[in-house]
Amino acid sequence: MLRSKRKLGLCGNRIQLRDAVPYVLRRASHGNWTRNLVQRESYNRRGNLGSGILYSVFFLMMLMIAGGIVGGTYAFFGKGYDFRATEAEFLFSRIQSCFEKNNFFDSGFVEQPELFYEKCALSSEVLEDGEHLVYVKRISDGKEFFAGVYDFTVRCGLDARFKNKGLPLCEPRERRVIGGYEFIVGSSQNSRRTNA
Amino acid sequence: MNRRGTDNTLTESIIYLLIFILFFLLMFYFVSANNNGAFYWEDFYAKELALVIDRAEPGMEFAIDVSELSRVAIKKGKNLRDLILIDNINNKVTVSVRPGAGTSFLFFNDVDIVIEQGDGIVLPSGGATTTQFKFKVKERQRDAQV
Repeated sequence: MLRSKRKLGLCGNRIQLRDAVPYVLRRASHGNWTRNLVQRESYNRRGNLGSGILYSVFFLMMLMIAGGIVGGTYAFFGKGYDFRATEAEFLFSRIQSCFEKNNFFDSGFVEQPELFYEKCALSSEVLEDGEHLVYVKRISDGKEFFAGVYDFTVRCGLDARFKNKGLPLCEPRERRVIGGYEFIVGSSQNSRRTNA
Repeated sequence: MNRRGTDNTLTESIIYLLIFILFFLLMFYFVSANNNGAFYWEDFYAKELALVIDRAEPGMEFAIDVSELSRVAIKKGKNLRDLILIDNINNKVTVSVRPGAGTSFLFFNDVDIVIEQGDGIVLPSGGATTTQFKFKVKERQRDAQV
C-alpha cells in the first residue's frame, strides 16, 4: 500500500492538491490506491459558461424577431379602436338629458339607485361592472350621487389615461360645474376576447 | 475526451428546439389572427354595434352593412349565421369571424334587441359583398336572449 501511495506522491497525506485539481483516494479491487478527480462545475473545464452566454444571444435574437413582428403588425393595423371617450361622451349626454327630465336629487335617485336605472333606461349590470362611473354632485349642499367605480373621480385626472387603456376617459374632460352641478361620467370599457 | 457521454448536448438542443418551435407557433398565431384584420374588424363592429344600440330608442329598426365582416368570416371558414350574437341578459354584443373565438362589448342601454329574420344576417344580393345585419329595438322584457 505504501509503495502504491508513494507512486502517486501521497506520502503522509491522504488527499493532496495537485495542480489545484481536487481528488479523492479510493482503493481499487487489486489493493492499490487510485485517484478519482472530483467533478466540480465551478472549474468550467468544458466551456459551460460560454455555451450559457450563447443561449442568451439566441433568446435576444428571438426577442428581436418577436419585437419586429409585433411592431410591424401594430404599425400596419394601428393601436386598435379606442372607444372609451366615445362611450363616456354618449353616456354623459344621456345622463344629462335624463337629469334634466327627472330631477336627480329630489326624485329619490340618491336613496334608490334602481329608480335611477329605471328612469334613465340604463343597465345596472353594465354600469356596475367595474368599468363605468356616473357621478353627480349638487354644489349647493354637497349632496352626491354615484353609480359604478367611485375611484374614477381620481383616475379620470391621471395623465396616463390616454395611453393606458385600463384607465377611464371621462366626460366632461375637465371638472367643471354645469348649472350648479358637477358631473363626471367615465368609461374604461374595452372589448373582451370570448369563445363564440 | 468525454467517453462516458456525460454531456447533455442532445437534451439542451431538444429543449432549445422546443422553445423555438413554441415561439414560432405563437408568432404564427399572432400574425395569422391579424391576417385579414380579423381582430380589428371584430373589435370595430362590436363597439359600433354597441354604440348604435346605446343610441337607439325602443321601436327603431336597423339594417347595418356588415360586408367587411362577412368577407373576413368567409375567408376564415366561419358560418355567417354565428357572425353577430346579441345577449339581452348580459347586454352583450359578440362579433366573431373566427371559428371558436370572438370579441364582445357591453351596451348600457336597457333595451331588448329582437332579430326577426333568422339570425339577422341578410344577403340582399345573394352574395357576401352586401351583407346586412337587421334588428329591432324593443322595450326591456327581462330574461330574453337572442
